[in-house]
Amino acid sequence: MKNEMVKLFLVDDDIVFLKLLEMEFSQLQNFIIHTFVTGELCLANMNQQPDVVILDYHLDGVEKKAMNGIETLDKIKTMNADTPVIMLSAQDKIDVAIECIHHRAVDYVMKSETAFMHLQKIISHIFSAKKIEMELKWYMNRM
Amino acid sequence: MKLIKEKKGPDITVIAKISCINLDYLLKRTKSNPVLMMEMISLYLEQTPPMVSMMKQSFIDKDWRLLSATLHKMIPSFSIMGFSADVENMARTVKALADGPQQIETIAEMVAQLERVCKQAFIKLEQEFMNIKKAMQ
Repeated sequence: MKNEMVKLFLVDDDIVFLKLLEMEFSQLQNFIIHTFVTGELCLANMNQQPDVVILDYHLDGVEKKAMNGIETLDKIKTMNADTPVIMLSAQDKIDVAIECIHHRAVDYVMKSETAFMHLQKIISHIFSAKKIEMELKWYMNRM
Repeated sequence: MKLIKEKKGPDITVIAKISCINLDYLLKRTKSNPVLMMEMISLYLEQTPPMVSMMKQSFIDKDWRLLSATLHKMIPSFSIMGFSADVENMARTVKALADGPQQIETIAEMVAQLERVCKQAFIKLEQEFMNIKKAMQ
């Protein structure tokens, strides 16, 4: 992950938190960031093939007609099952976390002062795991 | 009101007022970049006043789902803008009361308090925005 650019999609209807995350990731060298305030906009841009998606769980809280986080997650996974999606939420609830994992999210992070640090760590783990997987495939092909 | 004059970065001096908000967290996150500070304050002032109106209206309408959803959206920004933990806890309490068996009098009092604190914060943030803008000129 050191030198490769990571295309990151950030999806949140909370424009303050969205900007904060964008700002934090922009301060790192290796991220190309795209931000979206709805799940619909994120899906419309999935042809750009993001390396990671960070997606808010409550996209339909205030805007009732908006697609919610889980629906968006399911559609992302239908389009590309390998795209890692990390879910975000303002609430620390085990049932929400379990629901996200059942819908094939990589992880669930609570919106807090330490959210960025957790997200960075999770993204780092995603790429380490991908690297190991690729190396394993390489060795398997030679056996 | 106590005023503290802080040197923020090479060119910018921000007057941080000790009140309902504290911009220390935002200053750290933006690395005291005045443009980013202004952008964050501006986004907050764009997003939150309609949320406060929605909070009040949803309570009047007894639309508990919308009241809960509105507070849910407001809560993460409290810590970003450095509201005291009491304010955030109050918002969480109102959300929990809206989700559960509603105690109308308690909710009414807390919604009114949250509205007062937020409106006070909007004035302070507008002042901070202008202070930063002046410091940049």
